Parts: sequence; C-alpha cells; structure tokens
Amino acid sequence: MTLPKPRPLPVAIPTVLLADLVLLVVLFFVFTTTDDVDGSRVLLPEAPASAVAELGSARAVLERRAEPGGRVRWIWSFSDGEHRRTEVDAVEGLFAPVAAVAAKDPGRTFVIKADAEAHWSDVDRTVEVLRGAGARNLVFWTREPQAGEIR
Amino acid sequence: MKLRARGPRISIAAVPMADVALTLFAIVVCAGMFSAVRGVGVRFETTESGERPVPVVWVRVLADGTARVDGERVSPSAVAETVRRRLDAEPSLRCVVHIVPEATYQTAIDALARLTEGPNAVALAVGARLSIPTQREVEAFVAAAGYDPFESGTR
Repeated sequence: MTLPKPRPLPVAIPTVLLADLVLLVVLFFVFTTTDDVDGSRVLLPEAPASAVAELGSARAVLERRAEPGGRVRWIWSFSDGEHRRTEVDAVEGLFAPVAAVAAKDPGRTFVIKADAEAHWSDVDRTVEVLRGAGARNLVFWTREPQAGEIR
Repeated sequence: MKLRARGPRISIAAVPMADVALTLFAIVVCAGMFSAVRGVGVRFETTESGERPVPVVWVRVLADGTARVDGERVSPSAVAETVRRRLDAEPSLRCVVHIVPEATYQTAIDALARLTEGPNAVALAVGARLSIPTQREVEAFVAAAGYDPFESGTR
C-alpha cells in the first residue's frame, strides 16, 4: 500500500485565534484595572450607595498606616484626580489644594476615600475642611457589600 | 463570445468586525459602570442668615450603630423607617443627623446609607430635608440653645 504524499500546510497566521486572544486580553485588562490614580490602599466601608462621582474626581484620602511597635497613624493626602496624591501633615493641610481645585471648578465633586475603621471624628474634620475650602459636592466612597452579607 | 475569468474578490469581512466592536463597546461600558466611584453623596447647601427655623427630627447615631431619634433609642435597622414616618406625617420637617465622633466611619456610612438609600430614603435632593452638621456645629448649637435636642428632642 502506498500512502499519499502529504500536502504541505498552508503558511498563514490564524487571525481568528489572534482576535480571540486580543479580546481575552482586553477583557482581562478591563476587569483588573482600577481607578487608582491616588495609589492608596484603603479598606472602604461597605454600603449600598448610588451616588456616582465622575472618574478622575478630586479626592481626599484618609488611610491607616502601621508603624513599628504596633502603632497606627492616620495619614491624610489629596489628589486632584489627575496627579498622584500628595501627603499632608494634618487635615488642615487639605485646605489649600482643595481650595485651588474648587476655585478652578466650583461644581467639582470631591470624594472622601477613608478607611472603614477610621473614627468619624477624623472624617468629620475632613468634611469641615473641604466645605471651608469651597467644596460643594461630596461623595463618601464606599464599596458594594459582599454577596450574602447584609449589613 | 470570449469569457474572462475573474479572480477571487478581495474584501474585509465587516460583519464579524462589527460584532467584535459591539462586544468591546459593551465590555467597556459595563466595566465603566463597575469601576465608577460610588458612594453616599452629600451636597452642601448655602443657608440665608435669618432663615426661619424649621421643625426638626433630631437623630444622633451612636458608636454601636443604634440611634436616638428625638431622644428615643432606636435600633439601627429601624432608624430610617422611624424618620421616614415622621417626615411623611409632617412635610415641613427636616432631619438633622449627628454622628458621634467615637463612631467608626463604617458605622457612620451604614447610618447614612440607610437614610439615603432604599425604601425609607430621606431624599437629599428633594428640598434638602437631611442635614449632617459637623461636630463643631453641633457643639456650637448646643451651647447656644442651652440644651441638647439630640438627647431630648426639640423643647
């Protein structure tokens, strides 16, 4: 018996597979990308909330920082939504950058991104400084409650 | 008659490309919705000096999540319903919420979310019926009034 001579495979780049691959990569990036312009790691409080701040909103961040010896320090920082955040020494340090943003765009929404374990007194002082500096719209950034968790 | 053989027609398949574009667009829209900054919204209102005082429901959120509504202790889950019932009964009423400084941010957000979201929401947009004064403002008010309405209700 003689076997037929194998035909050479056509040389081609399989474009359909490539398109599928690109689609998967796009999906991966879209779902793993977060709005992390301020670069902070904050455990947001959980709440079903519907107020939406536009992407790139200015934000005041209150984050917890563990120090040697088990001490915890609370750090304030501010980002205008376009540039990375800068830390300030105390909550009053937010006044100047917030005032600058509010003067440029009075209708701008400011976001408070604070750790769920922070004391309300610290958030309250942040609200006071923001309002004093001319902020008019404020959103307390939250995350959706986990499935099955009812608060 | 002489027939001329035609070569294969070269074209870009536009239909699958449109499908891919539509899928990508849908993904980007969905991802945009999920990645948006969501939270409890507050709008600062400007008040005229000399504005007529309005009747108020005083709500104090305590550190354990329970609240005092006009001095009466209420469980966290019942706060919004209690406030809503009073506001519905008296349209000129406003709700003033004081969160004690010792409460955690999570406790505060829980209380605000209950008041501003869901079936018993006290709509922030409708006539600004909900106020959240700062600690300094509450202290100033209590000092000026000579009593604490969050503990005893309006005298």
